Amino acid sequence: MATLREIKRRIGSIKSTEKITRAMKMVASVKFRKAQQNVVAARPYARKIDEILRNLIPGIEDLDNKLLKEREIKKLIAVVVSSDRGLCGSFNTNLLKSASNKIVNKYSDFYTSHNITLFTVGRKSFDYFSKRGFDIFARAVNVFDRLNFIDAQNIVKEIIKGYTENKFDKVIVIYNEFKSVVQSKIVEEQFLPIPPFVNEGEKLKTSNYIFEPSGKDIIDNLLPRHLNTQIWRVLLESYASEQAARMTAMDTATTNANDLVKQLSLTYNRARQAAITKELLEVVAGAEALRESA
Amino acid sequence: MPDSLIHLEIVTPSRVVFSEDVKSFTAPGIEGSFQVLPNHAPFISTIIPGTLKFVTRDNFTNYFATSGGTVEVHANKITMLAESLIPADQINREEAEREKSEAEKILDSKEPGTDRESAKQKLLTAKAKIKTAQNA
Repeated sequence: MATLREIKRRIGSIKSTEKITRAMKMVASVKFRKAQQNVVAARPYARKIDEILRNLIPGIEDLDNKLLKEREIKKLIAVVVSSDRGLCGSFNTNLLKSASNKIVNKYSDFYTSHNITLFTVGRKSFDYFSKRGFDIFARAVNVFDRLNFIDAQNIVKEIIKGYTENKFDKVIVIYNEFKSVVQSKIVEEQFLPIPPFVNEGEKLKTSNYIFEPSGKDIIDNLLPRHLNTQIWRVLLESYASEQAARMTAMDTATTNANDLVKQLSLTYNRARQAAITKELLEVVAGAEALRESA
Repeated sequence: MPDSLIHLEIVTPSRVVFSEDVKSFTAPGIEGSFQVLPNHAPFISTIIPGTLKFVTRDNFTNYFATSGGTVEVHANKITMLAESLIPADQINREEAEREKSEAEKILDSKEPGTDRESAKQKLLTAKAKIKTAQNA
């Protein structure tokens, strides 16, 4: 049986670990609340751009935008969004596993012919795929600490550049979509070419608009902005899921640490009692022996 | 109707900056500055870096510097979509001057591989900020 001193040391170390996990949980919950607010705050802008595009695109005839047009898919790029930091449960593991599964199985034709590259967002994603020898086109790391719209703009700029230079013909995004604190969903979305805008039965109001400059120019100007907001949303959602995952993971860790401390204190007390009893018995037995010999 | 008003909503990716009825709205369009008054016809325009100006219900004139965006006018409602926007009284003149000189430096250097397009954009935005701060 472990000695008293050993048990005491273990209790001490578990208690200090618990302090850390508890603090991390609090920090994560504050960050999570903020991230959630950001997700909500980003919606009006994205919705408005989407609305304008949905209204305009069907009414414009000479539309010839590279970002909208489908072409033969020879090369593929997957944008995989993970977190920068660990200690957030299975957040990264699940995502990265599912992403590499998709690449190897679903897009096996592209994978075996080396026609799929990766754009990794987040340190974990980069580490994972570079270690496994995947083709990495570009990366964005340490973006989540101070998440800024400029980060989304930079990522999109890079993607659009590669896309217009025909380095790839289709762009997909794989990320953790935020559902609720306890739930996030790994989703795969087509990013480029931009999926067709569906008009949900509203009547078109394009015909009576005055355009300055032409409608086509406005679309050309709006589409990259639309893409910016898409990536911005993906980053925000992923970040919110990350913080939620960290919150849950740290909560579980804290509970586990508490349980362990409880158990160990019990063992400690038992061992202490046993030692006392043993000592008592020895004293009594010793006294008995002395009396007998006297 | 004592005063005719038009609803103005200014939205950026991070939040709704302004949502109120105004008397007039002026913005730097790609084909020249324009003003929108109440009951304007449906209209969409691309905005270049410059100064936004609008007069509120109580005759207060607001100035904002923007890096560009899009304006939609429909059903007596103006929607301004801007990727970045800063109120005139929050502009840091020194910072704007510094951004301007940095952008100019990039544009002046003949080095290959510099991102001239984004430097140009930065220069225009910095200039817009300085001008807005002077006007307000």
